[in-house]
Amino acid sequence: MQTTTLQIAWRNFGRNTKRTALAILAIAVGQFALLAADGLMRGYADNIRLAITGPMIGHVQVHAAEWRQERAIDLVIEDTERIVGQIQADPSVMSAAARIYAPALFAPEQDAFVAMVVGLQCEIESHEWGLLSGMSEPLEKGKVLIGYRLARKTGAKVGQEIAVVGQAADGSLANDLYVIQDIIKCPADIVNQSGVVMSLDDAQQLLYMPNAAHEIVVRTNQSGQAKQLSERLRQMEGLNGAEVLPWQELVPELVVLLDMSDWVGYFVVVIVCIAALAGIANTLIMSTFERMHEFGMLLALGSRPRRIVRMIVYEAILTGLLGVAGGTLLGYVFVWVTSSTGIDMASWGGSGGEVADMAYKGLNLPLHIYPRLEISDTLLGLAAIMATSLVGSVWPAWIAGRLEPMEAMRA
Amino acid sequence: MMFSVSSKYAMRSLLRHGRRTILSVVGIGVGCGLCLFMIAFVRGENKMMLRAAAESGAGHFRVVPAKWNETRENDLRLIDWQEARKLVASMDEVEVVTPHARKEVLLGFGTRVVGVEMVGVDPNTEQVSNRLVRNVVEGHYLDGEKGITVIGRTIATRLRVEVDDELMVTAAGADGEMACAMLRIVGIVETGSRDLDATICQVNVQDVEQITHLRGVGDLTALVKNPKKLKLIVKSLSEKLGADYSVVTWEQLMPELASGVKVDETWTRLTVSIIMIVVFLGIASAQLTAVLERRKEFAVLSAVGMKGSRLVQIMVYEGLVLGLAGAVMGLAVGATSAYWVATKGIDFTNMYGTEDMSVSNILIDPVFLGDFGWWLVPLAFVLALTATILSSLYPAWYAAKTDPAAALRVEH
Amino acid sequence: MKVRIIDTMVVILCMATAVLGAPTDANDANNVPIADANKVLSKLDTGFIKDGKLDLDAVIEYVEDMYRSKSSISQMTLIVTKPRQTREVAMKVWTRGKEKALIVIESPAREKGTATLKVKKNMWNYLPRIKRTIRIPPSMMLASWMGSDFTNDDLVREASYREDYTYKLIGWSKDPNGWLVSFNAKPDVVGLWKRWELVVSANGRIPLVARYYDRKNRLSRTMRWSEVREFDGRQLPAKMEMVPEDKKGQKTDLVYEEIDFDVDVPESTFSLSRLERKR
Repeated sequence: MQTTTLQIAWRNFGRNTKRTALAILAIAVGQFALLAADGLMRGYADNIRLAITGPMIGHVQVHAAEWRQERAIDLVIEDTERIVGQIQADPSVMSAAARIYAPALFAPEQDAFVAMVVGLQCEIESHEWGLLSGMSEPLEKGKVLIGYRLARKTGAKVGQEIAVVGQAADGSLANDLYVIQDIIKCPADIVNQSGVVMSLDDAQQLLYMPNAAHEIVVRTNQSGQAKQLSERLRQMEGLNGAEVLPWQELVPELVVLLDMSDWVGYFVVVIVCIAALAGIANTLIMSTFERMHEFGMLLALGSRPRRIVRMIVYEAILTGLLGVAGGTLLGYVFVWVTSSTGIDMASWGGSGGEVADMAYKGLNLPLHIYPRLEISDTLLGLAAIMATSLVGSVWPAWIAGRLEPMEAMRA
Repeated sequence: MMFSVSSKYAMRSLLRHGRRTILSVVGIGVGCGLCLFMIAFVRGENKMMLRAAAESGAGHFRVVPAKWNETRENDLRLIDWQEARKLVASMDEVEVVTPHARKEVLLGFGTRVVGVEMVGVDPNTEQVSNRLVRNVVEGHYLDGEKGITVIGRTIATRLRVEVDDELMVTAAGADGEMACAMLRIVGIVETGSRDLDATICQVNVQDVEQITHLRGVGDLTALVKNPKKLKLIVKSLSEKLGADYSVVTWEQLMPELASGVKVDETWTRLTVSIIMIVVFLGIASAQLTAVLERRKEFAVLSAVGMKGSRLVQIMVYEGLVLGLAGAVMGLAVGATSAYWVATKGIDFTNMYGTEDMSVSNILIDPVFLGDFGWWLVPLAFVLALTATILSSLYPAWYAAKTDPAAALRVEH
Repeated sequence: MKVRIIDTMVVILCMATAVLGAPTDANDANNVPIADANKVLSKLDTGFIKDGKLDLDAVIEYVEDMYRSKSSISQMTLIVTKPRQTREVAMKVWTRGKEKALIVIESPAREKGTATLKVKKNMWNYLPRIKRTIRIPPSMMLASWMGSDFTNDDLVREASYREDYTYKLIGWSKDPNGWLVSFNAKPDVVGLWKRWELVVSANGRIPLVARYYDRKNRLSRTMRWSEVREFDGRQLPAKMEMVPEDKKGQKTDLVYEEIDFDVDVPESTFSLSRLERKR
């Protein structure tokens, strides 16, 4: 008996193509919208996470104990080369770069300005997530890059020979001459503000700290695993006594930002969900009610009300499944299409593409959103829509089942 | 005459199929209400973003010396700043205007030293325009007293000082010599960000004048009541002030923040679009479904002699009425929820899993307030009517084309 | 004669009774009331006695000008001790009056030729390796000099104890033994120290200890003088040791190896061009 109901249900499908199509379409659109919203929200949150674990902070950082509080030049990580090598041996490590930070006086002429020497491993840092990403020419020995704000403040020009004077790690007066190779705009605002960037080797020479560094920034290809990675690195024998921290502990205030945008994302998805479900429910209820006289005929012909309800339920399930399948397909196509180039928020904003990367608290948020989906999104959509479809169909069906055939036919 | 026939038929049709009508109106109303709510929320969020950006120190616009645009030097001073300030304050659109005089200094206490940019302010108006200094956790904010300062928590920690301790300030004076003074700490500020706390050192304008021997202030920062009118305000002010002054907007001052706000706006526009499309399609599909079932009805009318165009009219009328009713309901739902969000707001406070609230409440408001206003009304009607009328057109056209005989065939 | 001895004995007896007032806190344990200090008056150089009492003004004036002269050339060693390392620098110093000083590093080899020039309140550094002169920004006055516990301001400030501080004799210090003088910053003076204390040797000639108290009246740093020797006819402490209070394992020693007072030091020594040309 069940089979026949199912067959009838299936046949009903084919019979009223337009109505069925409309219902399926409504559901598909709903699921697609849900997935699109999910994808976009995830992409946006990803961006924030990327910005935080961006060039300046990375996923895990290594310092000599107490360096972060004291910022003393001589609180260094010794034997940097070997340690960086050791860190890179960990399978989940994508890159490890050593850095030197030292306050210094920067003197284009005789007058000196307060600045900060930043020693970087230029090779590594000019990759996508480094501080020097996008730099076309390598930084030559004896040359420096000046943060654009510092350059503006001091009138420094490319090609100028400048003196850098500071305190070396051994307490003596560190001093040397450098030529300005370029004026840069760095993802990290502090560098723009007061940074004099030189190669790590040059910085080690200037500050008499051979094979030493103040900070090692580690990036992993499994961004969710930062805490575990920092645990593993802490156990490494070369890093005994050093401070190894994942980004969540380095910038707790930015973690709050992340949490909040997660919540806003959920909120948006919920609203989209409600809108979609409302539309689907509306459609299905309407559709079922419109078929009242059809049910009336069936009743008149001797069908049991229960069978009618069952038929409607099967139809609802079929409609739901087909619609969800279609919508999911569309959703994944959308994500796949946009995942290569990303959605360019800059051009949407209509400012002519000159838009600078957004800086929030010294970080830069990239302006391309790459939507991303997880299986749970589809499953949630499926569950919600199925539930709605059933409710949307069953209620009117139940009413239909209780009708007198004549009444139903007249409806 | 025929006109009213269409409308009469439309009305009667709607009333006869009460359930269908109600379902339609509810569907339109809910969808419309959701859209209104979402738009109100998003507009509110945009406003808040903009406000947060303006209140973190840049203001909506700044009056600076004309030369500042080239060199961006902090030492440049405005001539006759009090007159300029009065002029700006006299504009209705301006909410508050406050002066700043900046100087890079070293603060010293005992054997410890910290470098910072000291800012001379007017205590009466500074906290209104700058949210970063509103959270004074110890002591109190500046008052008219001379020789006092308010510093950020990080500076206090690095110098190992507290309220009432006296700091020594050294700077390069106007003559290139060392200028120094004593400042007593009256308040310690926490912004929630350790980095920002290291940048806060505020004093009275007169103290900066005294230390640096540079008279006057470097800029006047102002907040406006309606940011949408910013360009006009700036233009008119530039004309009034003359060539010695330059008026810059916050977008010119902080282009990164400006693009951030734009991104946020774009983002919210995107999400609202998604919702509107979903709602629109939901309404349309429901309407279409209803209409599809009426093929027979149309066929009968057609057979009885009703012209296609009249049928279309009927459809349009029905759509109109449904749309109006739906808009009203949408307003009822949407406006109430928008009002609630605009006054009570959505409190994200409890959702901060890890951190204590004081961490970011200065920079980002944890309570989202929506926008609320008369704009809700026209928007509701436009949304509802567009959705219903457009979704009536296809079936109407389709119905008009249907061959009555074909439609009346038993097969359904 | 007879009367004198009796007078003195009476005075001493009175002092004895006065002294029986117990010390109320740690500071007082170091101090003996002024009156009783007169017991040691005898140890004072006669130049510092006025009206049978300690002539504080004279003592302070002497101590202030101890190392000064119209001009001088000296050889000094700066030793900076930090928890993780120690650094020793040998310097030659030319001075003229209070306003001008030229300090040139002679060793270690890496820093040889680095010079600091002070004229009034201005400071420059000459860096021989890059052959450049940098002017120390006025705002950097509170920064440390040469990485030591002395600030640029310490070097540049024409220490005018008498102008910026009111001083008075507190009493007799037990540890170390000497006259305890307290200097309190005058109300409108701009400076890091709310007060500081100086202990001068019994004969009034040698400063022993200076304790600097920050604006919160906490002991912030302590300077000790020691190793008194003869330098070109003057008895002076060769070693000055500066110890900051809350930086563990850190101190700075400044040691005079040789001083020649009132030698010929031409004005031209203290010029930037001379600085650059010479090296």
